[in-house]
Amino acid sequence: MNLTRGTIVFILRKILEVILTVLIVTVISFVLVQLSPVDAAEAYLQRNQTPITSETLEKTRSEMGLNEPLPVQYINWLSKAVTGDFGRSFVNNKDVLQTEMSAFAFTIKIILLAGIFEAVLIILVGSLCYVCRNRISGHIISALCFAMISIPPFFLASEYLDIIVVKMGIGSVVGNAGIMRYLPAALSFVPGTAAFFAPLLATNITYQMSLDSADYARYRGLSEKRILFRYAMPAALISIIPSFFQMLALNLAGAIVIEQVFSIPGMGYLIMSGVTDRDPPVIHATILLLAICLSLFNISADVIRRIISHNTDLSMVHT
Amino acid sequence: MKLSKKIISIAIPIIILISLSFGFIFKPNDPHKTHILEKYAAASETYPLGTDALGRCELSRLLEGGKATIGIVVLGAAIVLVLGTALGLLFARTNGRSGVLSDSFLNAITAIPPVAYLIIMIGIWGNSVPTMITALTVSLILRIIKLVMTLAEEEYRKAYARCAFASGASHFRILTVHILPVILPEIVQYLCLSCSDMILAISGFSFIGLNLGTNVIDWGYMLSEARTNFDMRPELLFFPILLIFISSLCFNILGRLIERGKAKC
Repeated sequence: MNLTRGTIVFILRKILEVILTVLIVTVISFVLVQLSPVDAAEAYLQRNQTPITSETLEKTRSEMGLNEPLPVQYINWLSKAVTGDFGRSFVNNKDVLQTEMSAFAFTIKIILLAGIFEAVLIILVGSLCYVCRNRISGHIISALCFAMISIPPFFLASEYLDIIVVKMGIGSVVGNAGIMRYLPAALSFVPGTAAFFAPLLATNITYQMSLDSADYARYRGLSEKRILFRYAMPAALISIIPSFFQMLALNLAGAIVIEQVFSIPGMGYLIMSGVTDRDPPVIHATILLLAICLSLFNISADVIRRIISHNTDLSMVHT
Repeated sequence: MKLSKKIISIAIPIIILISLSFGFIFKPNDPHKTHILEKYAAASETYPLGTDALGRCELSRLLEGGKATIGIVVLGAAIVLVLGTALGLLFARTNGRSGVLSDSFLNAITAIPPVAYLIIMIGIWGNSVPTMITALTVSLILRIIKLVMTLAEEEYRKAYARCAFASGASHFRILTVHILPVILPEIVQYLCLSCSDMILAISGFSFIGLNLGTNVIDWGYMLSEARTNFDMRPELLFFPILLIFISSLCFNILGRLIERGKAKC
């Protein structure tokens, strides 16, 4: 896998795009907070049960730096954020960076765990779809997959809690330690995403099996099974790797809702509590982190797609 | 014969979606009115699906919920369709120059899935019907602009567009009369699939407590209410999730049908 010069330029451009994305999204976050109907200083005073007069309000606002014009606020925040200083929370005065990191650890575990299960399930169901493609069972499987996409993950999550945990008494709602803390949350994404990608994999396998190279392997006397697992499947899998990274990005967005159902203190919890408490430092930092992760997943997909298409082009030229 | 079958398969999901979004006109009772003595009533003539924890008519609430959930999604998608397509065609570079800067800018803003923009906006502003429509429109329109630009630029290079150009058609005419009909199915298909995602996302927000406002009923909110009273009448959980599922499925089916229609062309 030689990276050509073009590919390196491509990767550099993509990295610049990540920076651009992060800048745009944080600007959006600042503008939205500014336009928000609730004033952060007012919320702060209410929380500390200080009487709200125009003096106290003015004092708090200037302490929070909210009196500066928005561009100045943004530049101030950005220049500190670059050094890793996101300020302190207005609610509990904790260092925002530490809060973010501990929340991020929860969330990333959930989405990676979900990613692993999704990958396994996609391969299993995808090959099943391919094997049964001309039978009634195959049509039933693809119809089931199609229906599964429309079942919301948060419903699966809450049903798991209501039926399996509460009614049947298996597992527990919050007291779990170790992997059981993340596993149910991760598993609730798996059916929907796997149902989306498995038929895609089956289509890719069908395409690979119809190629001339597969026919050539057939003439060599190789069995269908061997062609499938040795040639068609790896090629089909590689072609859906970019989609897999986009799927991780969607998992991240979905995790924010699911964390609430399981009361996991991840990034979803931070956004929600930051919003209800009107805590701009936490909101901005969480959104920054979210933007970085999402755009990293996205460019990984783009870069891998480019490298793959490049390599296949070359191999076609040589053979 | 074949055509009528095609029409029926497209008509069924559309009819279901329309009846779910306008069903509130036929609601039998006031969905907000509580009858504390009649809570958890079984299905009867006055309450065709029974009542919930506060004695409110379940059927009326479901129909009212459809107005909010599907109404928001369809309104948002309609705005995006008109505005996004217009802007996409406007920005499409047809003179063959490639703009690295504007490309990177578009890539940068679309690097984040629409649902994430929705989370950011709803997160900061709190949820309400106007906010949700705004957030939905903003988060989807970027993608549609990018899609329309890519498709239009691709079509512009094709022979039929060049021929139209050679026979004196104006730039505006080529884009609207010749290219738009070709790329429209793909745009509508993308929007249908997005609508399906958005129904799940909106219900998800309401479900975790970011509901659309104190007096707005939507299916996600009904689901979270039914969940707190799960032991009393579990079937109250079943109705809203069924409708969420059906409406999301209908949009998915429409998307799939458009895709098939395209493949046959």
